[in-house]
Amino acid sequence: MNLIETRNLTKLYGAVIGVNDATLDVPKGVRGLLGPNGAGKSTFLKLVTGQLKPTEGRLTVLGERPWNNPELFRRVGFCPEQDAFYGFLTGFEFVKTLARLSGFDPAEAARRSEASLARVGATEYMHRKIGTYSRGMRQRTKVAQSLVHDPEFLILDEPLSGTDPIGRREMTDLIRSLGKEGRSILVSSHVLHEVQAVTEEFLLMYGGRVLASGNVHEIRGLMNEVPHRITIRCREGRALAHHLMRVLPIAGIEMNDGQGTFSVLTHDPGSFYAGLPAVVAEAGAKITEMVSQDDNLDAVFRYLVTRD
Amino acid sequence: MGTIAWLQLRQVLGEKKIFLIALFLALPALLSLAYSPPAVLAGESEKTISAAIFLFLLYPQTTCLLLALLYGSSILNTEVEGKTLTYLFSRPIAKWKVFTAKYAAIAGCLVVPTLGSFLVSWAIVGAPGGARFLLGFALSITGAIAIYTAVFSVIAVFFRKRPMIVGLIYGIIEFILSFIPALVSTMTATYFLRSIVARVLDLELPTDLLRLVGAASLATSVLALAALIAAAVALAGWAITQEEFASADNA
Amino acid sequence: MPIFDVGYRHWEGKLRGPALRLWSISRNGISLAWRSMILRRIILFGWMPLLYFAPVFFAIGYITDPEREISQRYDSGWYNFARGIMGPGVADRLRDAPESVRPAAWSLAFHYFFSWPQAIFTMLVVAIVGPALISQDVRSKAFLLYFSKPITLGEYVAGKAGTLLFFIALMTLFPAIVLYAVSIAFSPSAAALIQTSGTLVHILCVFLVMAVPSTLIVLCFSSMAKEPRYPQFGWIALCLFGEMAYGLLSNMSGVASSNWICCLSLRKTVSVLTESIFDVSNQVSALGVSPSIQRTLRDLDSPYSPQLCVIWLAAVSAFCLMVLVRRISAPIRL
Repeated sequence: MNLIETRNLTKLYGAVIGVNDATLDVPKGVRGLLGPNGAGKSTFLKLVTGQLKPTEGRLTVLGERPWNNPELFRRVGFCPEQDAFYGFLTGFEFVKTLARLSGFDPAEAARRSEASLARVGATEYMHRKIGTYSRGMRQRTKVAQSLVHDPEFLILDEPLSGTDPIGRREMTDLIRSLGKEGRSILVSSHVLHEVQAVTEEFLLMYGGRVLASGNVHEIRGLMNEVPHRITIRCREGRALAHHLMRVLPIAGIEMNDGQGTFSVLTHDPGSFYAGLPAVVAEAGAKITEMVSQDDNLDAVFRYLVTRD
Repeated sequence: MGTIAWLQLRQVLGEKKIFLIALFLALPALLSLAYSPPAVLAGESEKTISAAIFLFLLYPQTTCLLLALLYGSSILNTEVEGKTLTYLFSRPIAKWKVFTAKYAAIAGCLVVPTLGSFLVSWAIVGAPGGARFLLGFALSITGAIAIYTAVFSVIAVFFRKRPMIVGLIYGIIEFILSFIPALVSTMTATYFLRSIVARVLDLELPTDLLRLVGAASLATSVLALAALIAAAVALAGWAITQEEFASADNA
Repeated sequence: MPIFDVGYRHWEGKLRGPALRLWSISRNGISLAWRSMILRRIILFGWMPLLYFAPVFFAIGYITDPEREISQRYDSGWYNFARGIMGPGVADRLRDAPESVRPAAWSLAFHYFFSWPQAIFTMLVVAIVGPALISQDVRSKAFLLYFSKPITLGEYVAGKAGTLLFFIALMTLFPAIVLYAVSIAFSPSAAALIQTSGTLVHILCVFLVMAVPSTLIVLCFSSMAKEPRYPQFGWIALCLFGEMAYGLLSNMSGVASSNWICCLSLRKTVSVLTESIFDVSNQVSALGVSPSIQRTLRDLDSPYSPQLCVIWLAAVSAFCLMVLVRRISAPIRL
């Protein structure tokens, strides 16, 4: 059974398209939901969590329709993006209340709340009122409430927003560890490297459409018509570039500056890498830096967005 | 549902504005200090009727309606604007149960202090009518808060942008309709609330005046109000399951 | 070929003076409030009383026209009918000098126009527009935006007040002016214009009496909360509870004949002043209106002092202004 299945899923806000004709199957596992602001990520997550009803099409989560299906939330945990709380409650009371709403008795809810807050590193301040928390503390408390009922599918909407670098690292580690426990997680973000730190599987959204779904390397490999770009810094830049052009399968070379940095464009990066050492030795050059800028999320995203 | 009701209670009681509400409830008691029955009403029963009219207009007709307007019209809007509704609707509990629990908590929370305020006012105006008077008004005040909170909650579900204004317009129209000596007056909650007081106090009134005040029997009035409340809560509960409460923000 | 400069163009105009800054604030508030469908509908309904009062003025004009046969037709039947309904004084004047009835009739009509239908609609409009004017700025911290521009505290308050004053004028001043114009149009001659020349001034005075205290009260409430529902409730409670309190105490209390009771109800306070501005009581009494009619026109036989009402409204307005300025000038407290 897939985690999420959609068929021609569309959501309209009047004349504004939130999600546009999305058909996809999301298997279980840890996935990132990527896209810039206004791409439709939050709308998609609201559809998945039953807050919105699809205008057209079909949507199932864990085999069930989420709209008006509260029982589904025994298996799904949701951490919303909004920084909204009941400020008069302490973190512990907040998580415990939501645990009670998940059906646990008071003692079990208290036990689970403590465990959940400890998991996110919020034990120290859990008996303080949420209104006194910093942004990072509130974020952890939000994640804690989504975990307290031990869901098999976790949906995290921008879980790293507002956190400091240390907090971001800790949250990333937490998400990875939750994934290793066998939970399925869907992490939404507009910051590409944040998602890349958690998973290499992603859904990419833009303009309400799902542009791609899968592993970043697979996607890049499919983008045949766009040559790979490899930037090389070398003191004998021009000479090395001349040698490379003669020997290796290269679509083009761009001299970036006069200090020997140049970019190689190739449709066959495998052959290029295989033949590069010999060419460098023959040219007597010394490469000080080499970066493949394409085989990451930024490049994939840029390509898919501009192509669309 | 008990958890939701507890959460709602804490929300209401934890607000700083609760002191202003307490002040608001003290106003009827202050007004009661100036009460004095018209000189032409000499007999005890006439004085009781006069006090009943005074306290009915002050409590079920005004104070209960205004409090229900404030809290009933914001039953869900506070959560929607505060964006905390997401937490309640992403739990394995039906939306209509969330609404019903919040309604019960609000109505229960309003009844107790209002009855307390009424008790003070009743004592100030001379404690007329004794236990029957208290019982009649306890029923009427409880009924008023329950029905008006339910009605304004329904209005809040259907008119999410200006629930208090629509509720106010409803209150004005209902007040006017309840005084029209025709069938239309028997379709208002006010008519049954007045009937409860009139029946419990066993008021002897001329027929035309009785029809205006409220001619329904006690049982009919209580049942009618209960039916109206149940219908309003059911309607709101159904409407909530059809509504989307997430906005297009951050779409 | 000439190369066109498509880069940033520095603006070379003249900055407008401070007087128009507050109009920017008001205009923004007006356009935001105007988006409310309920508000537009209430404003539409608020002009409906003209459909009732216009025929009344037409009837007054018709009856008081000395050229009309009806005024000459005061034979015994009509005359006795008029005497019985209105009183001998009015009937005699209608027969002998019908135009002399017009000022009193118009004053009475305008008094009721302002005291009841327009008062209720104004209350609704203020309840919709007023509460969010400052509370939304508090909630969204828009203060930072406003006061990072060269706007003074007074301009901010005046700008916000301008929004509310516009809508109150839309419910009171503008319909009253239209009604006056209609009344003149339905009058038998232009002499009515001279005879009722003070009416426009009276209308303006009543507008100010209705608008200024209401605006200051609601803005004061609005500055005290972050959510509009509390100032909205405060305003509604002030109007409804005050009206109920006035009604109860004026009929069922030992202080029924006291001067200050009318101050419990904002509507009644304004009504007393409206009556005083249009001088209704004296004009109607001078006509020789019958006691039964006077009892019907109960408002005109009240013990309330217009001077006390003025002092009360001024005191309330001053207090609200003081609280408002204090709340706005210390955003950190909010």
